Amino acid sequence: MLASLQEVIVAVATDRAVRRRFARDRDAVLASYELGARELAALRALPIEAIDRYAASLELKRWGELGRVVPRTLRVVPTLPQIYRRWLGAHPAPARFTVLSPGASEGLRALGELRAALADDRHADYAADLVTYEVLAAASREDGEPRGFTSRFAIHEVARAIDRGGIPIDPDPAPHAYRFARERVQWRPA
Amino acid sequence: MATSVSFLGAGIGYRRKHRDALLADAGERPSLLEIIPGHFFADPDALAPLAARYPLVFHEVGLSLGTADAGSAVARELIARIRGLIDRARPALVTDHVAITRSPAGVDLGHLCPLWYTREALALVADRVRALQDRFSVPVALENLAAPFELAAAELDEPAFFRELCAATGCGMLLDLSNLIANARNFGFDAAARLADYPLEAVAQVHLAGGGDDRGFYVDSHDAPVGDDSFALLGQIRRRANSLIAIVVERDDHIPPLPELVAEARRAEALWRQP
Repeated sequence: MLASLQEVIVAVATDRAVRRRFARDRDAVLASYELGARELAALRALPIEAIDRYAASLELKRWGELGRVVPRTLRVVPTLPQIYRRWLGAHPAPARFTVLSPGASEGLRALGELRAALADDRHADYAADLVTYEVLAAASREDGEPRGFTSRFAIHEVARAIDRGGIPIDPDPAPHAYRFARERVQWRPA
Repeated sequence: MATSVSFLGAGIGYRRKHRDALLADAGERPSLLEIIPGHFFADPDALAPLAARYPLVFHEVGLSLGTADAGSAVARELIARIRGLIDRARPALVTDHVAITRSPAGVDLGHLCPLWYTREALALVADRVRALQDRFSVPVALENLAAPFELAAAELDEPAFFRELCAATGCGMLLDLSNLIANARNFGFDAAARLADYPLEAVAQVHLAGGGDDRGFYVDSHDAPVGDDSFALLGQIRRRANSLIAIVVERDDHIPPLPELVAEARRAEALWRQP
């Protein structure tokens, strides 16, 4: 029974669709769990505004951790927090052990989705490769595992330009292969 | 709490941005450091210079001691890694929270969630604390949360849960005075009056932090200096928390230069040590 109560709390806190159903018809959500009278009383008494506030704080915390890993992408794509949080609300994170920081770990988990979202015409042509560069570099810097990818751009030059305070507009394609390790990033024209 | 460790002083939560200053030969230094073990899982050797220079306490956030499962692979791996760091650094204390951070089915919250204070939960947490005590061979203490919400229909209130947990296991309590103040503001009780209900004789560590209001809800955001109200509560328990090992000032955001944080820790230590 305690386990079921915990499943309900975690589901409403991490899954936006469940939270909406909980707000609209709480008993319908609770009916799908094995709960006793005391558990039902506790869950029926949960103020929805407190759950909404808690859920928002969880999303903000995860974004804060991820945002520290992808600062350059955030400069190029100011809507990145909204893009990420929209995805997160439908994709609660599985618990798993990792030696990575929460931000790097979440970056790896979300990378495919972020790449797909940033490949959209509304964003800089290099945005998807930039987020990949930042996430893979952070993860390899932390755990020493080699990682790599090939970009359509000289993304290290893009990163340098952003570090100098600029935001490159339409850089010419210049495919490069990148290899990340704990101590360094290596690249070569691809 | 069964421990032979005496009061070590007041310190700060270790953050990487302070590493060089903490290891420099000159400058203001705290009396101890609180280490989040996960910060060193990828590079355990980085802990050695800190352990050589400071007394340490470990503060874990992910054991999810209240999750009603049969024991997860995540918890087993975490415990093994923490044990490895304990062997390297010999902290005076290892702490985590009376909380859950993941569901029994394995969904990760990414942060702390209050436990429903029932007899079933008490038995579960007590069993896990005993297992940690056996595994870690250093004193273990558990912390009270700044709760985002209260769960109704509980069988125990928070102070009673901690009293029974400490009595049943011999573990200590990490009393976060700023969390207590946050809960008092948000849920309408008197923090100073509630303080006496906690097992003060088992308090092994105190946390102090600053926070702020967010649309009418006080958030323990660890992004501001410790408030005078937290120092006032520290003064209130000074003569009663005789098992205290450490006081730690927490700061996770808007992290100031080291001397500013050390000054807050010094203020707490001076308050504690005054005759």
